[in-house]
Order: sequence, then C-alpha cells, then structure tokens
Amino acid sequence: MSSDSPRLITIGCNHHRTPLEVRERLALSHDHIGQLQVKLKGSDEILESAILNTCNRIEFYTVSKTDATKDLIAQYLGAISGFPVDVFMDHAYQHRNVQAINHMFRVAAGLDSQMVGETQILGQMKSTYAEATRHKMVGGVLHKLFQKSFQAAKWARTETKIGTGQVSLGNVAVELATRIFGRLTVSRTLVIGSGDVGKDVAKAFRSRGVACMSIASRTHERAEELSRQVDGLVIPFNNWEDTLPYVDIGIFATSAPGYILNKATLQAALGQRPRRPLFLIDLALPRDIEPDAANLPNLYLYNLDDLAEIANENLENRRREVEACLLELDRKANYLWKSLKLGNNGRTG
Amino acid sequence: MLIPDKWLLLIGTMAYVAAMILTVVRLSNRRPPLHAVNLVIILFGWLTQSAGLWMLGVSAGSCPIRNPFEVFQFVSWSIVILYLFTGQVFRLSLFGTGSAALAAIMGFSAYLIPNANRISPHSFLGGDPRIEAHAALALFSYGIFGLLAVLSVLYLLQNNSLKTKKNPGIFKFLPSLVDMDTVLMRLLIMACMVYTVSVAIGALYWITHLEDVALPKLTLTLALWVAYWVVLAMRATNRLYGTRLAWTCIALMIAALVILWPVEASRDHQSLSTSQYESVLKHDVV
Repeated sequence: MSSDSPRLITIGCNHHRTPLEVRERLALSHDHIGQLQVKLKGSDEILESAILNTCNRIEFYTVSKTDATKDLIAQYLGAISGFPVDVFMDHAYQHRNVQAINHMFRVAAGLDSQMVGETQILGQMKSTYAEATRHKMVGGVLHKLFQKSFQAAKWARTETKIGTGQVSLGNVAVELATRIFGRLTVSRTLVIGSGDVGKDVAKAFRSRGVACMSIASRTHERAEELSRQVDGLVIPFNNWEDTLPYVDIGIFATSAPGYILNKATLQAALGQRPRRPLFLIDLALPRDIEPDAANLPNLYLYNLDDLAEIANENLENRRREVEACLLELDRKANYLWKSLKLGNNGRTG
Repeated sequence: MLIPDKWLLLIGTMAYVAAMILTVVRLSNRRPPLHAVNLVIILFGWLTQSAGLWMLGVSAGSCPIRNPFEVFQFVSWSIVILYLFTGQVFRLSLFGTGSAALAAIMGFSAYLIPNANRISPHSFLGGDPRIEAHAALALFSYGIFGLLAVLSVLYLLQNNSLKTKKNPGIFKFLPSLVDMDTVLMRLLIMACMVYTVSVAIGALYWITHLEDVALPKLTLTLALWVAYWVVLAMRATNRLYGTRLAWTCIALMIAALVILWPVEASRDHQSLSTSQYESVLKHDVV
C-alpha cells in the first residue's frame, strides 16, 4: 500500500485484554464522546471516524491518512477525559484494513462480546453510526462498512445458531438469587439507575415474581418509566440508602463516576438485618459498589464480568457453531475489503 | 466369616454408598440427581440395616447398642430414618445424598474400629429401662446432630461457591442458603429437645444411683447438652448464623463422636448394679 493512501484502522479497549479496573476509568460520558468527535473531525489525519462506547468496550473506527492514529487518539482521550496516554497505549489494540473489517463484523454479530452471541451490541453499533453521521464524520468507506456489518450481523443471527442456548444476564442473576433465597416471591428488590442493562435484569426478576421492587434514579422520569414496566415503586434517589436494611436483592446500574455504595454503609445495613443475606448486582461501569464489600459475610456481590462469565459457561456447546460463523465472517470481510478499493488492497495490512 | 446380621448391616451400608455414587456420577455428567431412585436405594439400605439391627436386638434382648460397632450402626440408622422423615418435609436437594454419605461413613467405621463388636458383661443395658431409653434417645439425637452436620457442609459448599463465584454443575442443585438456614434452625430445636429428653431420663437414674455413674461420662454428656442449647440460644438471638453456625454444627458433631469413646470406656469400668448383674447372668455372657 502506498504511504499516502487512506487506511482503515480500528483502535480500542475491550473486556478481552483490559481489566475491569481500567475499563471503569476509561468509561466516557456522552459529553466526552461529543468532544472526542469534534476533535477527530478537526484532525487533518483522520478522514472518517465513529466511536463505539459501551460498558465493555470503547472503539474508534477510522479512515486515516497515516498510521499514527493510535497515538493521536490516546492524546485526545488524555486531553478530554484525563485518561493516561501510556495506559491507553498499553491496553489498546489496533486492527488495520481487512482485519479491521473482520473485527467490526465480529463485534456487530456479538461474537466479540463478553456474552457471545448477545444482540444488544448491534443496537449500540447502530447508535454509533447514527451519532457519527450526525457529526458528519461518516464518508463512503465507513458508511459501506457499517451497512455491511449490520448485514453480517443479521446473517449470523438468522443463518447460524450462535444465539441458541444463550443465557441472558438477567437469567444468570435470577438463578444466583434463587441459590441464595430459594423462592423469590418473598424477596424485596431495589433497582438503582435505569439504564438498559439494569432494566433487563429488573424485568427478569419481576418475571420471577419478586415480592416488591423499589426503583430510584437520578432521572425521575426514567425511574417512572421503569416502574411502569416492572410494576415497581419509585422512591426518591436521595433516600435509597435508607431502604438497604429491608431489601434482599440490589441491582445497581447508574452512570455515576464513582462508588455510590461503600463497604461501611453496607456493613451498617447488614448489621440491621442479621442472618438475612444480601445479594448485590453491580452492572454499572464505573462500578457503583466498592469491591471490598464482597468480603463482608452474608453479602454476595456480583459485577458485570462475573455474570458474563457464568452466562458463557454453556459456550462450549456452541463453539463449533461460533467457529463456522467466524470463518464465514472472515470470508465476507475479505470480499468487502476487495470491493472498497482502498489503495493497493490486494495485500492485507 | 460374617454372621447374617452383620451381612445385613453391610448391605445396608453399601446401599447408602450406591445412592451417593449415583448422585456423584449424575452431577459429574452435569445431569440432575435422580431423587426418586435415590430415595428407593436409601430406603432399601435402611430396611436392610433395620433387619440387621433387629436381629442384633433380639440376641441382646435390648436395644442393640452394646458396643462401638452397634453404636455406630445405630447412629447410622438414626441418621437415615431421620432423613426419611424430615427430608420429605424439608425437601432439600442433595440432603439425602449427604445423609447417605454420612450414614455410610458411620456404617463402615463400625467395621473398621478394632474390637468394636466385643461384648463384655458391662455392655448390657438390661435391668433398668431408664438407661436403655436414655442411651437409645441419646444415640437417636446423634442422628440429628449428623443431619445438622450434613446440612452445614452443604451450606458451606453453597456459600463458598457463591462467594468465590465458582460454579461447577453440583452447586446449582444445592438447596438455597435461606432454606438451609431455616432447616438448620428446625433441626437444632429437634436435637435439643430429643437430647434433653434423653438427659432427663438418664437423670432419673443418676439421682438414685449416683455411685454407678462415671464422672467423665456425666460431665461430657452434660457439656454436650449445654453446648447445643447455647448454640440454639445464640442462633435464636441472631448472634450465631451463616457460616459460623455451620462450622459450629460440624465441630459439635465431631465433639459428640469424640466423647463417645470416654462414654463407651466408662461402661467397661463402671460397676454393675444388682439388676444389671442379674441381666448379665440371664444372657449368660462371659
């Protein structure tokens, strides 16, 4: 490839090689993403770009003039969110050209997800595409790449069995709660935050007939909306800590920048409810609950990684299906790369 | 060569082992336990063991708890009969397998203890029905202590799995922590009640025959009785629960088994009352 021809480059950090402690520091707010888009748009090096930001990954899909995109993005990230440049450089991966397409196909199909075969990622990619289009950062290459990714994801979902037997986070959480409490019909549940993941888990608990469900969110309207969906009771966000001694299951999924529940508070709450176990599910990133609290007796604390690991236990059964799917996506990626005609793309980068 | 009663007891013990192995094989293949089949095997083992103990009882002319062999078999039998009744009420998954495992350990231990089935003249309980009732009830409460220990082990396994987030297939078939905690409390109450009745009946005899009672046996029996009541009181007042309660129940079961030795030894060293002596003569044991 000639040195001045555009390159397709994907840069990112995800759950595969970046630990939760780093990912939660890297979690970007909507404002940060907006600022990054503006920075990327203003860069002379980058022709097209889109940013995928989920709780398990941040990825930059770019069409660049040079190979220095990773350094550039690390500097932009550092300037906007304060995330250390060297830490990003250590943990970030980079895929070029046909590998970048192949990676994007895998992400869209849910094959690169923490819970292999999940479908939520496709919606998040569509939002990424819409947001990048709104910022006028999508040109001919990325437009075609996103469209083909969506088609590849649809093919993987309809023509293969990668999703068969897949267990949702909600079902995993419900099964764990059953191992702690037995019947859930007498268990009281508290939901803090009203994000999509938290909503799914709350619905799973409601479908198993938990006794009552209290919901608190900084955005009162979203709490109201969730309460309608799960037949719950909205409580003021300022008072939710007072209810801790009376609940059995806590689902935390806020977008707070740090811990909203520490070990000392939990110790005090447990002291008021001796014998009764407390099951806490921390779905937030950055995490909502101080991890050290897991050492408290009678407290069972699970985060996103823990639940995903359990959910993937039945992955072995689907491994052959996934392998066949990966081969086909690889073939599709090669085909698309040739059709993009970026530089001398007979050779892969 | 084993005589028929010993064969029956051995077959009963083997049935408990079979029930345990069946569940372990099923779980290692990630398949759910076969509760009904397990129950039938355990019931068969218990009936066979009952027949063996009945034959021993007929030859003894009393409850067959004359030596360590019979004591261990009787405790094993008690564990299973208690499981057969309470297990169906509490409906805790793997409780039967755990009970069968402990019953098998107790049953095999009876065969492994040196000179366990030696019958000395002092081994007889005949002569005073209060001693026989006291001893039989005490060993029956050992069955409840055994179930408490089994349930405590299941509790600790479940708790450890949930805390360490390790989820091999077995753990999803274990009962829930809350259910096990509830049953632990009920079994504790039952253990305290039965053991108290046993101690009370024994006391009726001790008061009138203080010279016949060995001090170590009396002290250890009362210490164990007080220990179980303290545990029950602490559990009822929420001062002992969860893993600490489970470990305490296991420790108490081990302590209860350990003090069987001094209790057994005291039988060999105590003098015979007149009525006991007559009973020995009647059975012509040398």
